[in-house]
Amino acid sequence: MKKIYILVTALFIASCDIDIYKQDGYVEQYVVECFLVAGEPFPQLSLSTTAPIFDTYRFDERVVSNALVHIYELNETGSRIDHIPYRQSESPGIYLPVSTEKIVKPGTRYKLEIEGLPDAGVFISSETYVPHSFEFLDINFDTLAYQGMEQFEVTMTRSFYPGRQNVYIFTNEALDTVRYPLTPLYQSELSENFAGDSFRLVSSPILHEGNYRVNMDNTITIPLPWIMVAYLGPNRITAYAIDDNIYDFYRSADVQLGGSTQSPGEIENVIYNIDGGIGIFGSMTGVSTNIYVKPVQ
Amino acid sequence: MRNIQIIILFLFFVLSTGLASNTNSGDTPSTTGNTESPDEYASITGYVTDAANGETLIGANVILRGTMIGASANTSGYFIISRIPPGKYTIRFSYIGYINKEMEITVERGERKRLDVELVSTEVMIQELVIESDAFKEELARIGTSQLTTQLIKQLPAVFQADVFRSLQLLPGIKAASDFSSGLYIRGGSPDQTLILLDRTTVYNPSHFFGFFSTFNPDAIKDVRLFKGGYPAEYGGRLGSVVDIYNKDGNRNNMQGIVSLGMLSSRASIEGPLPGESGSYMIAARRSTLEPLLAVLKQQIEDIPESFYFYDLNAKINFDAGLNDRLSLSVYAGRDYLNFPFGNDLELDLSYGNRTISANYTRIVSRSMFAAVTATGSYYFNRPYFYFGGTDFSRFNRVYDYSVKTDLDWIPSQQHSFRFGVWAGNLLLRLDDEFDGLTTLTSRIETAYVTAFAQNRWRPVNYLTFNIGLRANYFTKGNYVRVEPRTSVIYNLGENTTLQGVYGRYYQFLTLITSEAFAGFDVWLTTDNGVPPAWGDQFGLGVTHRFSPAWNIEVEGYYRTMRDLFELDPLLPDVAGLEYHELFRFGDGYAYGIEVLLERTVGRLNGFIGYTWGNTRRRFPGYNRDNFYPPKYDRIHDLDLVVNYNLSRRWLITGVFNYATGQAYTEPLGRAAVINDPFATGRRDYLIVGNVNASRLPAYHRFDVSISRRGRFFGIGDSELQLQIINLYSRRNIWFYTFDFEENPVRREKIQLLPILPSINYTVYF
Repeated sequence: MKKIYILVTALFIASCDIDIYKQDGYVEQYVVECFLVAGEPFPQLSLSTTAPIFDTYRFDERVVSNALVHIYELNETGSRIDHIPYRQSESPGIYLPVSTEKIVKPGTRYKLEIEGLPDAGVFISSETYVPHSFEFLDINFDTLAYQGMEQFEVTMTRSFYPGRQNVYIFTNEALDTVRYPLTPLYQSELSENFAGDSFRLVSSPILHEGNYRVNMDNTITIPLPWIMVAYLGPNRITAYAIDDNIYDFYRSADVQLGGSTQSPGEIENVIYNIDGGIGIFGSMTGVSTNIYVKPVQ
Repeated sequence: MRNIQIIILFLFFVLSTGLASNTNSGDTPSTTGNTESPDEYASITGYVTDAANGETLIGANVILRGTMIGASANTSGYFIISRIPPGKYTIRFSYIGYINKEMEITVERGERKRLDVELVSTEVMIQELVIESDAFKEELARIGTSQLTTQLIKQLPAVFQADVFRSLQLLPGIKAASDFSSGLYIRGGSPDQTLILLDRTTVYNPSHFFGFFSTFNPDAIKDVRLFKGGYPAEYGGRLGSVVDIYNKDGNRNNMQGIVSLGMLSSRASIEGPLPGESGSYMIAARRSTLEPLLAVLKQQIEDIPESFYFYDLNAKINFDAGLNDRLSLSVYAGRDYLNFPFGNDLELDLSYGNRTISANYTRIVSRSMFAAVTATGSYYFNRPYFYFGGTDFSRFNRVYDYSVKTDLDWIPSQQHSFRFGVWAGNLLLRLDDEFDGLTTLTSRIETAYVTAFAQNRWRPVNYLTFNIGLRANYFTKGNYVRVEPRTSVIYNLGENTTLQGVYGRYYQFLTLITSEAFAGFDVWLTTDNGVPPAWGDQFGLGVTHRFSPAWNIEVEGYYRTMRDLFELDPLLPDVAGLEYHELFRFGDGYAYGIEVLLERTVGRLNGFIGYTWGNTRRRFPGYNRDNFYPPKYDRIHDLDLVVNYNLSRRWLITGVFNYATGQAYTEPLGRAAVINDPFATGRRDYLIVGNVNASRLPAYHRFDVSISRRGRFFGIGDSELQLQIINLYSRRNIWFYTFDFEENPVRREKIQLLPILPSINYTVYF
């Protein structure tokens, strides 16, 4: 019996110092940001570094200059068929396409490559596939009273993305935040915690196409929830079909700050789909229409 | 390899059965083998009940003194002792908190003696906390098994009201997620890995106030049996553990009642004999009483719920259809409701609850056989509704579970005790979501299930007992057949020391979508094609030793695996249009630990110290760089001290101290931002982290105290006034950190747990 007690005591003492899972330390990383939009010229790309969590963060103090930035158009086999060279702009850390004539094509794969970074040997690359184009066909009203009997509904054709259903983010941009007030919901409940024109651009969460009814003519009709209307007056609704990189980045970034089934305090990194750095190199295809929201009668 | 192991175990099981006919009883003087006719022997059977109220005493012990012949009462309070050689014996009956009863008996050849025995409660004379050791407590002698009395549950300091699950959280190996949660995290398992049974019926959401309290009213509860791990073949369907709760049957002798007034809720119960019939009834009701407080707060604070309450009702009727037949009907209904408008444009409305019903028929089939048939129904629902300025979201989530189960106890000899059972049922899960008037999700998952088990307690010699069992499951959703071997060995090293080992395989066909912070929106999902059941093996070793009649120690070690864990992918932003298997992430995990329980069971000063050293890990592909990580509730060290001191027959002081390693959390290392976010105005910040949950919150500790005084209430009945102070020194333990990006640099904010909280209860027993 005495041996058992000795064994138990030994195990107890040994257990006190067992902690094989350690907290690792901060490592600075390169941060890329570039959103390609189908049908528009190639956008600017920003390049910076991360900051330690409790340091003051300013983008202009973290910029990375003098890198060599290239975007390549790839064919179906992955071979390069076009080159979009970038140059550093007058703003440090901001890179622009050398030529503004080239347009981002829907249904096309692009590859980003960044070299010449301060850390020799570090090479950044990422790929995106631009969702196929689609269009707005109809909107049931162009003017409605806020929270009236009717609701805005848009009908649109369907985009296409290989290997999965289409995924959308809808945005509503207030076109005149000076002359028109916030809607009662944003005015009374939410604006206390935010400043300036925080609600000029309001977006939906990521939404699968499976949420919506497919019409007989293979179009889909989508109601616009009133919660997306932050300002009365003229607004622009945009539907974006997003690529995998934007999908992964935003769905994982949303979870970081809670609201998921994960325990509070459990945080995982954002999904970047970038080799050699972090950030986002994503693409989307969007269509827009304007609406007018009248105050409640 | 797995199949071979199962076959070997099954053969062992069958062989051990057959060996009964050729095995002598070893050191047992009372049996001489099986070549003689059964009529050479006598048998004793009967119910063991409380003398005051006729409640059956589950697990009561019966032994013929001076022999190793004995038995323990089953969950119906019935015992069977077979194959007793004719002669004179002293038979002793014992049970937790009751005075032992001894009787001189003589049994003749072939005699079938029926002994229904009543035991007298010790009440507060001796505050026993757990059952004393005894060779015939097959169930409770198993390692990883505990039993709590309702008396202890009521006297422990509790946040506003006595709570079954919060009392269980004091036992080694069981952890709480936070002060706000009554969820049971047992031996590294999440709450959905614990099967919760109320009168043999599965309860799917055992919580009130969104997880703050458990759903069980202590006034209605007779018995709480906890299997922390390595549980026997008669239970199944969960990877980790079982909490088996039985309602009171009701007082068979006199009508009696309880009225209790508390700060958060008030309770009333009544029980008594059935008029003109042999049987009893019990009705217990409880309702929150927050309305006066809410009314006062509403005068001073803007955002106060319009309505916020819970209630529950337990009722049970027992009817003796004869000496050998008993019927019972047990029902439970509970509901929580919250209506919380914020101004004119925001509103939350939530209703959730459980309903259970079980009809039980027991029959003494023969002198060695006892049968029980139970029909059960369980219904769980939640119905949240949100309204945001013209946009609404509503959900209607339901679980319907109907089943029939039969159990058969067959005790042909002192060497062998068998239990067989079949359980078949139908489970229907329904979930409907609407957003802005549009149906966004309609889910209907229906599955039938059939399980069968056989287990054998085999006692070849009086110092060695094997419990061997096999459980087979068939789950129609996904068409899964799974077999689970279970076994344990108990080796008595003399009168006061017992060594035990246990192994079992366990399958789980359900998973729970829940939030640790808020249990009102729970959704259950099942296996299906492409979603196989989770499974795991459990191993345990333990030693129990009694130093003296007052002092016991238990030391247990365990190791368990968790494979094919399936849970809702937390990164899914939307489930519409996905294949069922795409909803889940699949992973694995393990847990191991050592638990020590030192208890003093008698005397004016009694109580226990429980200590757990444990680790648990999870791993999901694509998460935490594919590495194992500790879930938040992982706590390496956990110490609980429970002390009762009887100042006099009237005054009792109880203190509870808990110390635990801080919970795991993820410490952000760096930050970055999307400067030109196309989907929002302004910058979007995000965190850079390293290993998930690799940091620890500050250690948790808290001291609670309860002082109670017994008295009389105007000559009508006994009364008890209870003053409790939770977190006596107001330690501000931390629940988790948040990070405020509105500040630059980021500001880390603490979300704290409960401060000091006094409460008062007054109870009248009539």
